Amino acid sequence: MSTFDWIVLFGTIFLIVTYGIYKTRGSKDLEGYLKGGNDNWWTIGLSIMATQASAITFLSTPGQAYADGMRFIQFYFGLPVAMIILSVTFIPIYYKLKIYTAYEFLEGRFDLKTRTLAALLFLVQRGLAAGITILAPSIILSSLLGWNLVFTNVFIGIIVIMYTVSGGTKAVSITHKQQMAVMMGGMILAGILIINMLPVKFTEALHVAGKMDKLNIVNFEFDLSDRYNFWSGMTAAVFLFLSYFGTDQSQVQRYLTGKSLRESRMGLVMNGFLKIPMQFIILFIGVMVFVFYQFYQPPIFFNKVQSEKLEQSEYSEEFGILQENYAQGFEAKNADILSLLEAVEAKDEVRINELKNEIALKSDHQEQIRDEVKSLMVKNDPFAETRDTDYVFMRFVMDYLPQGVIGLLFAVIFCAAMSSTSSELNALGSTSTVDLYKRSIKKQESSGHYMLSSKWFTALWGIFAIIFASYAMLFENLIQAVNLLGSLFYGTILGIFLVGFYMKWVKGNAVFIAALIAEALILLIHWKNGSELFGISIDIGFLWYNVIGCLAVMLIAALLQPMMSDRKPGSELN
Amino acid sequence: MNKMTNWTKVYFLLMLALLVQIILYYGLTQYFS
Repeated sequence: MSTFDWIVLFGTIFLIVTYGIYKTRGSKDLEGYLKGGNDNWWTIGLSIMATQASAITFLSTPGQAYADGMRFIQFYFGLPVAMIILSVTFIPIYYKLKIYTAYEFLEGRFDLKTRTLAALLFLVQRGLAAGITILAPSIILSSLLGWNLVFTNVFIGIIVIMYTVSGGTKAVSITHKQQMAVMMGGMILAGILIINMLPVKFTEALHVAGKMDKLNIVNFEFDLSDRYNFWSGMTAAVFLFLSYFGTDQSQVQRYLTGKSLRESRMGLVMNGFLKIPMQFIILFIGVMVFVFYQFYQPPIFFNKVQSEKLEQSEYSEEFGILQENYAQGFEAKNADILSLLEAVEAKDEVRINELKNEIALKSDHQEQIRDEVKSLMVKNDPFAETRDTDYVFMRFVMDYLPQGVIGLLFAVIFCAAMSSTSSELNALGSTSTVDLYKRSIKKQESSGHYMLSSKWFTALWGIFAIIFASYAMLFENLIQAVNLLGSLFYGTILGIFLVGFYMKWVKGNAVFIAALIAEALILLIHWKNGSELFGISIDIGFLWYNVIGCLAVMLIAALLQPMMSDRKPGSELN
Repeated sequence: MNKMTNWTKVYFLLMLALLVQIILYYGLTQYFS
C-alpha cells in the first residue's frame, strides 16, 4: 500500500474515534450513558444497519457472490416483515416499560430466573461472538497488510474500547453515522470503478454473469436443506431477524436510544427499506469482480501469503505447472466468453446454450486445477487455510484499484469491524450492569456508581474479546462453533419473548422449563442432523433451528402451563 | 387507502417495496440466465 493509502486509512479511523470521544465527553448518569442521546430515526436506522454490518459482511459477501452468485440475498427477504412485527409488538412494550435491556421485560412478565437465564445466554453467546467479530477480519487484514495477527486484534479492540467505554451508547450511535458513510461511500465508489474498468458494456457484463449462473437471485423451489431460497428467506429468516433485532441487546439498545416510539419505529422501517438494496450492492460488486476476472486472468489462489508460501516450498515446480495449465484454461474460456457475447448479440439461442455448457465445463476444469493447488498447499502445510473466497474482493482492490481508494476500502473494513464490535461491547456492558450487577449483586447504589461499573464491564468485555480473539486460532473450527452457537440459542430466546408477548396466560415456571426442553431438542436435532432421529432421517438447514426452537418453546409452554401450580399472575403489560 | 392509519400506510409501502424488489430480481434472474 502507498503512503497516501495509509494516510487515508489511519486518517479515517483517527477522525471517527476522536470525534466519538470528543462529542460524548462528560456523561454523568446511567440513563444518559446506556440510553444515549434521544436519537432521531435516521440515526437509529444507520446505527442498526452499522451494527449488523460486520467486517465479514464486506469481506465475505462479495467473495460469496464471486463463487456462488447472488442467491444469498434471499436470506434478507424476511427482514422487512420482521421489522413490521417488531414495530407493532416489541417496541411499544419496551417503551411502555422504560427498560434499559430487553431482558428486563422478562422479569416483569415472568420472573427473575427467566430474565437471568436469557441475560446469561446473551452474555455467553455475544461475548464469544465479540471475539470472533474482531478475529475474523483480523485474520484477513493481517495477511493482506502483513501485520501480526495479535497486533491486529489488539489494534481493532483497543480503538473500539476507547470510544465505547468513554462515551457509551451515544458514542456508539454517533460513530455509526460516520462509519456507515465510509462503508457505503467506499463500496459504491468501488462498484462504479469496477464497472468502468470492465472491457465490455454493462449489459454484456450482466449477460456474462447471468449465463454463468451468478445472477441466480431468486429461487422459488422449496427445499428444506437448501440454505437460501425464497421460502427460507420469507419464513425461517423472519424468525432469525425477529430474534436478532428484537431480543439481542446489541440491536435492542440501538433503537431504545430513540427520542420517541415513533423515531424508533421509523429507524427499524428505514432498516427494512435499505437493508436488501445494501446487500444487493455488496453482492453485485462481487459479481462484477467475477465478470472482470472473465477478461483478466484471476490469481490461481486469492490469498497471496499462501500462494507465495507454496512458491517457496518443495512443491514450487508442480505449482508452476498448475499455474501454466490455469493460464491456458483461462485463455480458452475467455475465447468462449467472447463468442458467447457475439451469440447474445445475434440472439442465437442454440449457440448461446452450446457455449454456456462449454464455459461451464471449462470453469469446472479451472476449479479442478484450483483444487489441486489447494491439496498441494495442504501437503506443504497440513494447517494451511484453503478457503480463499474471503480474500477475493480485497485482493482485487489491492491489485487493480487506484491509490487512495485502496486505503478507503481498508477503512471500510476497519469501520465495519469497529461498528459491530462497539455495539456488542456496549450491549455486553449494559446487560452485565443492569441485569446482573444492579439486579442481583449491588442493588442500592447511585446512578454514578452504576455508570462507572458499566464502563468497567464494557472495558472488561473488550479485553476478554481481544484475549479470546488472540487465542481462538489455536483451536480448530472455533469460529464455526461460535457462529453456530448463535443459531442454536436464538430460536429458544425468541420463543420466550413471544410467549411473553402473545400468550399472557403462560407464567414463569412453564416458560422456563419449556425453554430448557426446547433447547435440548435443538441440540439433539443439531447433533443428529444429516442422519436419523427417532427413525426419521433429518437434513435441515441451520436457519430452520430458529423456527423449531421458537415454536417448541411456545407449544411446550402451552402444554405445561395447565400442569403448573404457580398462580402468581404476570404483570399486565398491555 | 383513506381508512388506513399512517403506520399501516408505512408498513404497506414497505411490503410493496419488498414485492417490487423481488419481482425486479426475479426478472434479472430470468432475463440474463
